[in-house]
Amino acid sequence: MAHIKLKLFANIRELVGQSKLEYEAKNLIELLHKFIDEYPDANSIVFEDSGNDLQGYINIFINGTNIMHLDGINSSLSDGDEVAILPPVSGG
Amino acid sequence: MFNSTELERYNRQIMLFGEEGQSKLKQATVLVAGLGGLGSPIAIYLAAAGIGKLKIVDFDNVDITNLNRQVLHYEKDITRMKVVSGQEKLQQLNPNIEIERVVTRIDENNIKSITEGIDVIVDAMDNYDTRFVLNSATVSKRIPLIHGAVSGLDGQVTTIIPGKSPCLKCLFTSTPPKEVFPILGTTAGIIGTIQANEVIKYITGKGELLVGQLLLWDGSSNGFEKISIMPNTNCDVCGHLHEE
Repeated sequence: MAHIKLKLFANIRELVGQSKLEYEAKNLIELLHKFIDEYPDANSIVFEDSGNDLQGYINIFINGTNIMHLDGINSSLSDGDEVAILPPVSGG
Repeated sequence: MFNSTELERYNRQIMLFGEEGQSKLKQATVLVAGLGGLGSPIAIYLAAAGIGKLKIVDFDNVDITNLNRQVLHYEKDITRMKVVSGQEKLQQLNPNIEIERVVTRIDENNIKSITEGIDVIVDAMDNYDTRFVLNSATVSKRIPLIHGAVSGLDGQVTTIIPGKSPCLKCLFTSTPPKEVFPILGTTAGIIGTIQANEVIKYITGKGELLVGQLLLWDGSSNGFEKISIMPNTNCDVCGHLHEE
């Protein structure tokens, strides 16, 4: 089990009312499920209705790398990893 | 290089980076892609700083709903082309610089000619489809792209230097739909001003750039946070620049 820092930005941070959380998790899906268990209102920002598929436009980074370049939602986590959830910010 | 009026006009920043730095600004050509919420403060500060040539690109006309944030445009400008309205104000602010206006929607077909002779591209777009077109041009021409985006009270900035930083495609893999987004004018002002700051630092060599870092602004709690970002060595746009 690894100790993970979870950073939240934009509307998900506002919804949850926290910018940094800490969890024990061995992979991303476990981390996200622990997070959603604690903050169920954030579910619709992170996951599609079906449950285990990520929302198409959400950006999740592990130590600065987009998880789409890793193993997606199945990416593994190591002690001290920082995970950042960035809902899309696209206006200009 | 500079006449006495110019030396006076730029005196306070020549104190920062010397006539040499000011001369670099004067010789630079910067593309401001989009003349809306971000493009307004970007263009204003770059014009004021004495960038020699600004190329301003936008296909749109001024609408009343733009006026809470697009500070280059006034009520009298409603229905006018944004580049016409913008050029007028920018040229009034600084008659010593050259401003080229282009009325077009940036796409794969015109990006090559739009970026001809450009030293820095500034992303002031409101959608990722066009941002990715700018990103491809940045990588193929090996010129920097200063990315910015805003929504509500949140914003982000990063400076993309091909081969040295992740590109926009390394960072963001999906293209969120273009939509009417909530936005406070001050959010665009803060983020656009930081983008202009990056341009000036890049050209003059002063200070540190947001290369490999994504700066995130949270206007509700007044917080800036930087997260380190990594290039994707398999990126289909810039991966070839990151091979060992």
